[in-house]
Amino acid sequence: MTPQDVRDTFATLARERGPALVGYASLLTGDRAAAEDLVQDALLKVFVRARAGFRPDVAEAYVRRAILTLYVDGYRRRRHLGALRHLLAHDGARDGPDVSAPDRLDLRAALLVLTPRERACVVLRFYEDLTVPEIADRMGLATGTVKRYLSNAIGRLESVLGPLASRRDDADGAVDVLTVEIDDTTRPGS
Amino acid sequence: MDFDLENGMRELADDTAREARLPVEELGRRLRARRAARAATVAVVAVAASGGLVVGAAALLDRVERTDVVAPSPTAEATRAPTVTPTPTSTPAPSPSPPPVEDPVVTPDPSVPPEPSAPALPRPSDEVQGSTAWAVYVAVTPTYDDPALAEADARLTALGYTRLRGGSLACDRGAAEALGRDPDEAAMAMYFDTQEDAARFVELYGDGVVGTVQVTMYCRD
Repeated sequence: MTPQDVRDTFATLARERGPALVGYASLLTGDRAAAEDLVQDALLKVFVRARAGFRPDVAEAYVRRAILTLYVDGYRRRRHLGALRHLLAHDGARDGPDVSAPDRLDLRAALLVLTPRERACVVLRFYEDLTVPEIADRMGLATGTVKRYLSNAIGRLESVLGPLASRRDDADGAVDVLTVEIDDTTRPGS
Repeated sequence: MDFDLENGMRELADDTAREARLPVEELGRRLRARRAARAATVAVVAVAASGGLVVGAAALLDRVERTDVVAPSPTAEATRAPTVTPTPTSTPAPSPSPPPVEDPVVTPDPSVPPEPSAPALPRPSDEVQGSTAWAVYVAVTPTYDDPALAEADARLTALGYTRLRGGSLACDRGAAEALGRDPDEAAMAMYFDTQEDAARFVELYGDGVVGTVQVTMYCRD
């Protein structure tokens, strides 16, 4: 690939897949503005280093990984506390008899109460549809640690959203994380 | 009916995607600039490395010659390594936006005899990216939905600090280690430019302060 090819691939990806990438990033960051910033930085991080052998067909996969890495490494987490103001003010209406099924606003708020790594695991499991071993590999964690993060996250999500629909086991035998058990051999500090 | 998390997340992402806007042209310019800067840096490093090889080879050759023949002075052909000034590749630090005015304004009524005035609240730091401040942590919790955060928020608001401050403890370099806490934890804090201001705030806030730490502030850009 020539440098011009790299620039063309970059522009095409940003234009055609940019919105989808922002949608993915927003599941991590909790708001669109932070997601747009995160995607921009991930695009630049990937393409600044792109060399002659860079393959455009896997460019999006590289950018998605960069989005996750930048986010988990502490990127722009500061916005979270501000976005959670409505949660900090205890809302009595939430407990009223007329509360309907959780809508997307509730899901957005529910995701925000998770820690960054818990949220990343949930997004990779339920949005990217990765298995627990794949998540562990993507995030550089032990599988037991991923299971713990998912178990904690699901418990907290259910406290806001109510019971979550159970997923059937994956064909490759991956564990349904709604019934995940903590791995006794989990390495501390992972 | 149980909540379908998968579909819920897809709908949430799709909603955001519909409104998403990326400045493609501007991103393209930034990409060209960064790649050019990176290429220049790589070239400079390569020249320095080759220059270092030349110097090293010449010095080695010189030592070999000296062991055979006593020479009065080193050869004049030895070249000095070029001075390398790395080209910065990081984006320029953004200008901090002016902070909202937080300190409460008290207008005295001339018809009322003056009462002993309440102590003035110490002015919070502007929290510029990469700068240092004295952070007073009023709540540090494992999760963002911990009631302790809401309680601390209410106390700060009652004091007169209305802008929510805090976030991930990892954003305040030095804090997690000093407090003995996990950097992934959520923290609510007030930041001050001087240790004296921080100490005054601690007196005003009262019980419940987790700790005061001098930190370097990140995630503010």
